[in-house]
Amino acid sequence: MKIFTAGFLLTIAFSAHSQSILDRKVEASATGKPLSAYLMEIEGDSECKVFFIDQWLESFQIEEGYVGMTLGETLRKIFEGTDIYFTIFYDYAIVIVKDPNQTLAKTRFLQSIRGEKKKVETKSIGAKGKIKPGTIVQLTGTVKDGKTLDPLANATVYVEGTTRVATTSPGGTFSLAVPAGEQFVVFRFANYEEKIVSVGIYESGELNADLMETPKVLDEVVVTGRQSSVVNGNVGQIDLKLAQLKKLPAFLGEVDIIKQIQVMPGVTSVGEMSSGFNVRGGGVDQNLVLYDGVQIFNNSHVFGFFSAFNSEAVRNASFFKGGIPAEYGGRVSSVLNISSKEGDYKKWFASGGIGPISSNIALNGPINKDKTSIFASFRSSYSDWMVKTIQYSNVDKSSVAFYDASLKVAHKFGENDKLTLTGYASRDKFGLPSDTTFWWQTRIASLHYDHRFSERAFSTITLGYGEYSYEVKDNGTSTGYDLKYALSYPTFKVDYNYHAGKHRFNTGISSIWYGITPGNIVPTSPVSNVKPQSIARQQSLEVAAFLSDEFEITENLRIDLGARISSFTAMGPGKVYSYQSGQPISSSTMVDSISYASGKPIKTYAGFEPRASAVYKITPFSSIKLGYNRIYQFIHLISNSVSISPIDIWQSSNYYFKPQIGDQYSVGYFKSLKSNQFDFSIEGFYKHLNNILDFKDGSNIVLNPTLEDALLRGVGKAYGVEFSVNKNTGRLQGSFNYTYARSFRQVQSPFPGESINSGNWYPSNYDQPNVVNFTWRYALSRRFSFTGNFTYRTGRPITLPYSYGYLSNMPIVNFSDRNEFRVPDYHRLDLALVIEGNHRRKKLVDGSWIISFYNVYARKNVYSVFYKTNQYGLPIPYQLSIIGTVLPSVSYRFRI
Amino acid sequence: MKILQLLTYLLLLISCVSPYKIEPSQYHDGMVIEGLITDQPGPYVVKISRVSPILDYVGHPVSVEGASVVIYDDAGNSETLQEKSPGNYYTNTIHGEMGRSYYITVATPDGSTYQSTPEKLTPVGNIKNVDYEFVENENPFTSRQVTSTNGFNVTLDSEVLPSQEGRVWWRWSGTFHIFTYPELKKKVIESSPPVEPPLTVPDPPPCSGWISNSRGGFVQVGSCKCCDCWVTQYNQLPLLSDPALTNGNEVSSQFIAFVEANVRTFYDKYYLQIDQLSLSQSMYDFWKEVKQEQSNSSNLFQTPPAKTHGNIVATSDGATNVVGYFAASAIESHILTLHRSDVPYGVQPIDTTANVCTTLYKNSSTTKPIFW
Repeated sequence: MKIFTAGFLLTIAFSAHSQSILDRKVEASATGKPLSAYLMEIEGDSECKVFFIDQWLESFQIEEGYVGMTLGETLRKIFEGTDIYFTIFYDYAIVIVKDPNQTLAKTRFLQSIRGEKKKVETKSIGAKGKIKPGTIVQLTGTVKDGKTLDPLANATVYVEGTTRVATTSPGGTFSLAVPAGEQFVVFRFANYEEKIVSVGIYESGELNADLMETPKVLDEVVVTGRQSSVVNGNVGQIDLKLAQLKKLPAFLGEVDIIKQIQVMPGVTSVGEMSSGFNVRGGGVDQNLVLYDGVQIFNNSHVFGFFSAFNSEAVRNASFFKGGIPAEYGGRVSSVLNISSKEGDYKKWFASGGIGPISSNIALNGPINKDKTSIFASFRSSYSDWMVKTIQYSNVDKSSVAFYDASLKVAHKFGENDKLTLTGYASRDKFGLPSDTTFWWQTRIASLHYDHRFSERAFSTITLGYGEYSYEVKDNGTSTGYDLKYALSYPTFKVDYNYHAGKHRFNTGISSIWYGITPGNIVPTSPVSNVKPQSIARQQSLEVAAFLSDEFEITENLRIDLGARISSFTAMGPGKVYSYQSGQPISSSTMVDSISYASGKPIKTYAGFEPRASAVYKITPFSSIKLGYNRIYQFIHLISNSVSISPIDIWQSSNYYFKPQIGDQYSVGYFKSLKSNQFDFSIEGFYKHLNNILDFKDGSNIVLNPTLEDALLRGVGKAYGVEFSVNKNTGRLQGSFNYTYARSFRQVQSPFPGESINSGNWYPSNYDQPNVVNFTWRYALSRRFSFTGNFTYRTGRPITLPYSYGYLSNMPIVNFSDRNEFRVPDYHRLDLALVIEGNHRRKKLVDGSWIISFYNVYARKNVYSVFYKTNQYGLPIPYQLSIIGTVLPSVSYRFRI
Repeated sequence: MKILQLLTYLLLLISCVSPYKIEPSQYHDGMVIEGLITDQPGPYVVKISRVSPILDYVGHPVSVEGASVVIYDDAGNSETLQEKSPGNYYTNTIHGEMGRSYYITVATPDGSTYQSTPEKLTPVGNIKNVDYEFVENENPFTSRQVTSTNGFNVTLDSEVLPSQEGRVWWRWSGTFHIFTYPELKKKVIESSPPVEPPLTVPDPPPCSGWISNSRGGFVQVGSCKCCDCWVTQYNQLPLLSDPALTNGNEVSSQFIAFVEANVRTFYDKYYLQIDQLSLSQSMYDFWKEVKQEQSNSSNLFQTPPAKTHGNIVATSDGATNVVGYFAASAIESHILTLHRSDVPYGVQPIDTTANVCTTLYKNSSTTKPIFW
């Protein structure tokens, strides 16, 4: 056995011949000879020795193409992609070695995938006999979503054990050079199940793959940026990698997209009762939340305890906090674009969840196989009846109830056309023991038509209608009233995408027609002291056009340049009041009013919004990113509370309220380590906000027909640094982020006493300088995982009464400057144990249990401070902790 | 289902409210200055104190002593006020004259100086009529009537002079007599083991006239010095005319006060003094702000009220914040005495309170007023 000699030779001293043997050219006469025979020939007519085992070289022969090449090159080519390689010893011995590592690696890979019970498909391309060992063959194919059969762009295809990787095109196609032989080809796409195909590739051919969305329970909601790689994505676009991190402790067992966004770097919230979130020092109204292309104004249930989106119905969500693409506009701080799930085109599925507060169910499947699919989900609380059973204080007199429902019907007209209808409804009822009941609801419907002109061009037309309304009813005899507010917003958008070489263009137009019924109050009993009042309906039109180009200048430098032109017109019917010049705006300085007829423009604003971002890859594993965006916002949340409350007033820009203008500059450095096992990023931003509105001290905003007398215009600025580290693989996975950011406002008025805090900069309601989020998941075994999250935030600013004196025997209270004080710092630890069903593919029900503990050490985090007037007429500050104890919950999720 | 119920319980009981503690270091010191010159004979008083922390609502304001207070008029006269009791500075000879403007300067011992904007003393109209009407909201015999929702609504009709431009400021003070039984006071004694109810022994304060004798009993040694008290109440919200409701030269049926009719307020009678004052536009605006602050309702989503300042400003650098006013007003007063017999039913006897009478109400004094 010559191989044993090879080992022995290692001890022989080095002799002087150069490696001329490998420089020897392959003669034309060698063509067609088996490699072993040829090597024996060489051994015969030179002083060289060749050591090998015959079987190893059985299938190799000298092809015509090798003629004229050196022996060294020829051997390298022949053995490429196989587990055989050669070395040369002391210049006269060629030792052909079967790489034990290669074989071991393959065996190990096979064992590992068997261990994980992953399914490996076996395929063969070409006949084994036809093998031309050492040749490189071309593997082509398409990667599709196994359910919707939509092509998947940016999916990864690679050959296990080699460095050969390809990424799919927007049409889902790929082409990969593969060494002929037995190979494992792996297909990967974020949030989809990995697919491994064991292929005997003996000639160029096609290999297609349908990937299935990760079916594990809870892995439903994935928040990703536009691109999956930390290094490649644009600045400010977050890739949460929730695929790994989703099994987090959930508040009362409810998986919540908004709550997941609240733990991302640069995002804060002011407390449990706030479904709104603050992005980089911006207000809660500065986030554009889209559900299948239509805006959502109130994204919460039960005053913010839960988000209004059933995670079962959400396919994915993209979040932009900086470098916002030109396609989006109208809100200055961030974009959360949620797409609902589409039904399966082949089979029917059901899934659902049972939690202590609500339950949900979703059904999806084909109406017409491969052509039409439907997805329907429904979630409802059942807390109301439980509230009724509680005999404590007058808790049983209060009521809480909510539901949300989502429907999506999609129909394919051939390969290139698709029509989708989406419907979404959400409704809440909250009754207080004191006879007051709140209702609020959102309803949207949208129709999308997608058309693919070619592999390079596609277009989408969206027609949508949205409506948000609320009602507050008091059934007291002397205080009875019924207050109603409604906002409707038909939406239209068309966009066109074109991919040409290194450019990707996106252009389109959009418009929204706002109709606001700002308030209508009527007494509900004949003896009610409430005066009926109605504020006239307001209408306005927002129109925008956008164009952007993503340009891959070099392999390492990509820029995305865009612009958006937006215009806004407040329309009649309406009345504009005028006030004495040189006097503060108030009811006492009102002098005149002008009425506008229906459809007549009252005031028009227009804005040019440049957008730019750039990614420069320093190495394949690190990059620097820059971003700038300017955005105009024409609709404002007039609120005197810190979070979105259901009775907030959305007010569009008008004669007095100019559009908010936000400018944001951001820069970041991103690095991934150990082939994406770790990634690291540091991002900085500076944001300037113009024309923000803040209320005057002591002003009234509810049912105020002249809101201009209650609000002052100011500027805002925010800046900060966000630092984050993620560990993406292994038994222990997790992320840690720390943000230092400040957010300030300045409101100056020419009239003394009107300026807030004497016209100085003051912290905004959500200025929380230090924020730490830490989430982790530790796989105890394949079915059990232990997850947790820890959050720390500086307490948010508040305004307090702090001292008093007596004047004319009446207490006079001194209030602090606006936002001079802070509530105590917020911190909380949540833990959960996730027990998944067995991972067998064929089973009736795939279920999992989540046992979670929210607020493990029962910290009484302060949500807000309010004051109650005591018997001496003094307003005494009280702090309200929404959750002052540990909250355990058990929920069950299933899929059939 | 038990588990689910338990969880709901938890959710509903988890939220909690507790007082927000403001650290002493978080207070801002502040001055409170109050003074009024009228067309009535002096002396007039300027009171200077410091603000109290909001949670210290039973504490008494700290007087600012040793300040130099000077009053000036627009004729070039000035007079330094004398501190006759801590924080109370009195004029000597000056007399408020119609049409004159007045202002004060204050210099505190720490070197801070303050000044008020000049206020012109303008005349005020006459009170034409004071009316009262009894409102019976509850059956006076179903409860002990220590407090009651029954009482008198007091309204007035008044003349408004053109110079007042529709602005009128009212204030009132009401006095009533109460009687308590401090000799019945008891104290709890420790016992081992503790018993329920705890053991008590008589503990009359010496002012009750009873003292303990050597044998462990009690003897009366004099008359009670803390059984009779006169309690003074004031309006808790500024009372201002609404210029929109000032019909020509008069206001009519202007609500002034609600005098609660209970066993204490009508143990004897209720003496109500109503002052009608003239005031400048800036003082009117100041009281309006105060009123707004006081009536700001308590709810989770309230806005901070407008800051009240008054017409006194600091004139030296580094001076602490000041809230207060120095006003000049003409005063027209009216006295209304409501008798026990004015209550349309027989008021029950006063309740038996085993305590010193001064502790029952905030402004409670054992000194009989001169008008009683």
